[in-house]
Amino acid sequence: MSSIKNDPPATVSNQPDTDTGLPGVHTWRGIYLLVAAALVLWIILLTLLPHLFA
Amino acid sequence: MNALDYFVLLGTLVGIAAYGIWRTRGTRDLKTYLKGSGNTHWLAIGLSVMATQASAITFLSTPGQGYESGLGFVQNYFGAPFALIFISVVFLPIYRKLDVYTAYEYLGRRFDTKTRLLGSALFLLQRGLGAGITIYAPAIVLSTVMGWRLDLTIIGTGLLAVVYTVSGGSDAVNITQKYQIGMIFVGMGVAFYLLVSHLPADVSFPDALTVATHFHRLDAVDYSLDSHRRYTLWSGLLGGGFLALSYFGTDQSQVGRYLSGGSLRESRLGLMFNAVFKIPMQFFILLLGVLIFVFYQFEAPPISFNQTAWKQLADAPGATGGRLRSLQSDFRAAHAEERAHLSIWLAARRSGDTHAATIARDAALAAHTRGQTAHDQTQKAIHDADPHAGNDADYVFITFILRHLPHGLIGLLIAAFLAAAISSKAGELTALGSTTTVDLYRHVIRANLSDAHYVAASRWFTALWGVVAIGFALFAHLAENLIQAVNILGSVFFPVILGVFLTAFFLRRVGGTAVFWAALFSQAIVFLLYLVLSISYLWFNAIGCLLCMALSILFQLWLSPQPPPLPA
Repeated sequence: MSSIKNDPPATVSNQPDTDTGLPGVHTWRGIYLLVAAALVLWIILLTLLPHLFA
Repeated sequence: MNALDYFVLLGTLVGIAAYGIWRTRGTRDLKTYLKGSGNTHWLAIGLSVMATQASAITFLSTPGQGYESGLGFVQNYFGAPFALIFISVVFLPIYRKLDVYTAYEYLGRRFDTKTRLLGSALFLLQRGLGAGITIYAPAIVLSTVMGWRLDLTIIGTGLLAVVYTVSGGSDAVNITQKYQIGMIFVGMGVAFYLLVSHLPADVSFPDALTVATHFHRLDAVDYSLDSHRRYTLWSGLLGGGFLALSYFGTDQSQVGRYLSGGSLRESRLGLMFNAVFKIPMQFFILLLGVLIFVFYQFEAPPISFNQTAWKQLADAPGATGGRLRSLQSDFRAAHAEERAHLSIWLAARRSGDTHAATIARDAALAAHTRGQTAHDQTQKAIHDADPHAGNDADYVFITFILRHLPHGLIGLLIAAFLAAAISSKAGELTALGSTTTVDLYRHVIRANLSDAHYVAASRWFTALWGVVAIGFALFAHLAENLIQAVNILGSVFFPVILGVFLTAFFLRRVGGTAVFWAALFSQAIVFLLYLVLSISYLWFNAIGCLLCMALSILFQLWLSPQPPPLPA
């Protein structure tokens, strides 16, 4: 097995964006974008929550 | 608890453990024992990662946190989705490409043996003692409330986890965690439904949230830049992000879970499952506590949810007992007044009388403050008399369950708490066993022996760590400071370990000796900063990691001014 020292560090750019096998979202970048979007949505909803029931 | 509760409790816990043993019987291959059969579905991995992370305290104490402080604790998890994406992109492909058993094995290949041993030793020390707390913390609460013997509760839950983990290894942990977390979700969901149905007939769900808002229990996001505040959006995103990165990326109890996936895809989807559902899960558990708070604005709560501790003092002759009984009278009077004003307030809101609503709300808040003062003085008196009495918030949810839920469901929820403790402990034990076997025994003591030998060794090491954890839990009540020390270790050790891993991934010119000494120096500095600075503990996760990386570069320049040639 080759030494890890000779392997470039894994990054988004040097890995092929393989198929996720999921319907609707076929790339990993798409999944990561969805996860990040879900977080932003949660932060917005939680910020608004006390104002909705004031 | 009655016979039905005990039947549900023992039937579910023992049944799941027995199923795990039966499904994984006859495992002889080291890879299967330590990493699983390699065909684990991503949903099982996701649930396993979640079950290992969410201990009994998550389900038992977090509602109490929602009761006392509201939803703010959810910010602690805001950085987790980014951390899990980062692990999925950077850590996971390397771990899988090298086909490592443990995260620290990677450090040995990238740097050297001493760095590998440093990483595994820090993990074994912190997680070995932490596994004791995993069973001690719920056991102390449940034994106090249920009147069970603490030692038998610890030994019973501890041994159950040890038996099926030793027997079936990683696969047994995966299989049982799937059912254990399912049982926890069902129990918490039914408790939520019954809690809402227990609200007074004239208080709707939106009314309950309105009450919670005016008592500042729905204030979830704090945009303040004050570093002394424990939970803010920024400490959650940055500090919580580094905390999640170090825990999910370098703690073998988590790495072992997602490396059990059959492929990179399964492991990634398991992590993304947690990235999506971790925050909603924590929000739901905290909201449960917020609704218990609202419920107890209409139903008289005890002045202390730890009734055992309160009764011991209040029933005793002398000044303290009299003072506690007097405080209880004040508390009950304030609560009755608050409840009356709350009803007037909600009725005025419904009729559109804004002026009357404002007056009634302010009167309710003033009465609540008086009741809170009596509560705080009571808690102080209890802790002055018994410093080991524990946090009253830990007893909120269990008190609600025992007083207001039907038999059968009580047994299911107690089983869910114990299942959470057992599933977390099992995840930790299999990681401790595999790290001891792969990073210490096979690498340093006895290399090149048969798989059967290492499987047997791993079983012994797992059992040994189980006994250590049970032993630590049995004596933890005698050394509360030790528990604090273990929690501090978690806050100050893992950031530095994360720094070592990020150095390995991204600072390719840094060698083993430089990163080894950088880790030791930055560990010492983080300890000192922890003692000196009064900032939120979340910030130490970022500080420790970045300090280790910076010192690694400096030491490498000092040790070897001529950088090694870059790989082709």
